[in-house]
Amino acid sequence: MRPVSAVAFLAGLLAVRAASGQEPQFQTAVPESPAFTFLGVSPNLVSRPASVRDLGVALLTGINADGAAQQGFALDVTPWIFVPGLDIPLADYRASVWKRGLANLQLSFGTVATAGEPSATDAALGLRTTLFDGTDGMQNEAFTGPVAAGLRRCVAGVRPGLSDEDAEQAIQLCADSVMAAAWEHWEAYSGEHWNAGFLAVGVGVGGRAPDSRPQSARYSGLKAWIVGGFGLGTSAQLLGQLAVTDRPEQSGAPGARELAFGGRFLYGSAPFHAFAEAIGVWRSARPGPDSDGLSWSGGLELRLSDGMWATTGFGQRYEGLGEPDRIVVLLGLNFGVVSRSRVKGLGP
Amino acid sequence: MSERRRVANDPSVPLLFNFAGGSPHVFAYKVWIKRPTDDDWTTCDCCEGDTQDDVPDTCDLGALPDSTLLDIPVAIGGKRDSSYRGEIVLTQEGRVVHGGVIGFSDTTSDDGGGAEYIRVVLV
Repeated sequence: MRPVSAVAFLAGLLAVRAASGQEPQFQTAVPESPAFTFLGVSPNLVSRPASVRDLGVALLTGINADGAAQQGFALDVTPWIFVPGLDIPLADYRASVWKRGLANLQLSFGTVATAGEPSATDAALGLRTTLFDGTDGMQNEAFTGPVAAGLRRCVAGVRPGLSDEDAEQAIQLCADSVMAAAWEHWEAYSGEHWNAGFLAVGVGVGGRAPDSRPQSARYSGLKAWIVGGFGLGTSAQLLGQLAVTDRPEQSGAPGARELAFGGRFLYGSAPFHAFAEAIGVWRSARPGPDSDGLSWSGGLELRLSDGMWATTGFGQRYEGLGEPDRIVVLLGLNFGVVSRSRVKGLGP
Repeated sequence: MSERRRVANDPSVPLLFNFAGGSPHVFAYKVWIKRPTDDDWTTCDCCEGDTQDDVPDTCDLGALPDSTLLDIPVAIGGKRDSSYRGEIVLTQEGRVVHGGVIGFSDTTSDDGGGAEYIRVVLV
């Protein structure tokens, strides 16, 4: 039992170990690029085309001269902008959850060499979107109102007669200044509204091509996530997650299905809060028996400064989060000092 | 300085200006007008606006003589590095005039700002 947990003795009484040794993680957000998450990679170079021409060029680089997939290819795009005639103006973005979902839809695609089979390629296609986010400035007139006023001053300040370059540069400088200030102000607002509601979904689907040729690819699995939360008054937030994983049997490894579900309750404020979370998991091994389990943890966190948190907690999941940088005594409790919040999503 | 877009005009009929944002950004615009006989640029009450409010972004510019110049600065604000698109449509008597659909698109900067400067000559 580690000294960081002043009430760690409760862990043995209260934490229920998951039936499997592998702990499911509580997801506080859907991965930004589900394809890369599915493949388990963080590519250094990701192509992000913003025009049809750039998209065509990017796709061509994904296939080599022999018609085989290039390993190490990574693409991340916003699909709706490539649809001619499709408009999602700000008013529609605010009023329609579907149009907002379409505008926020991100498509990711990536390829990597299959582990242990250099001539084979694993590929994955991912989609993710946010249907609602209380801290999305574009959804909130408290953000767009001052932005509109600032941008109007930008266009009013440009007298005609300048060259195109000079005029655009003057507008751009002004618009950047307006937006930099607006986002800075909004980040402070978002920090104060740390418990705002949100709902995001994502899915990654994989394929494996034994000879790296797209036509020989076979289904290699799926991961899907739904993550949401809502505020309870001004001091609490309830988060929920649902994650599904499907892996068929391949290359001698057994297949498996997993359904993980969980909830987290936070009470306090962004810099100081109590948390409690529980995660359940159901696994179906193929071949093999089904298994399930539940684990939970709770604790306190205090932000000492940017990038420094004092944290204490109990429960099996908390114990698994790694060693703190050092130990301090606060309020009569032993707190571990760490560089990041143990509660993901609450900042550095 | 790039060449002005040539837009067909009937000098006896009022010209209607319409602005539409096509992406979830805030667009602000202003229309400057210079008739061939004017010494300086002028503007009008409905010549400036933004897409954040519920006010229709349509403005009657009146009947304008041929060779009138329109300069339209547009400022864009939204998410960082996001693709934006918008459209200006000029109509007379309810019909879009030849060359009267002026679309624009680009990507905001890493601050979330964007800029367009559109020049028109009525012919």
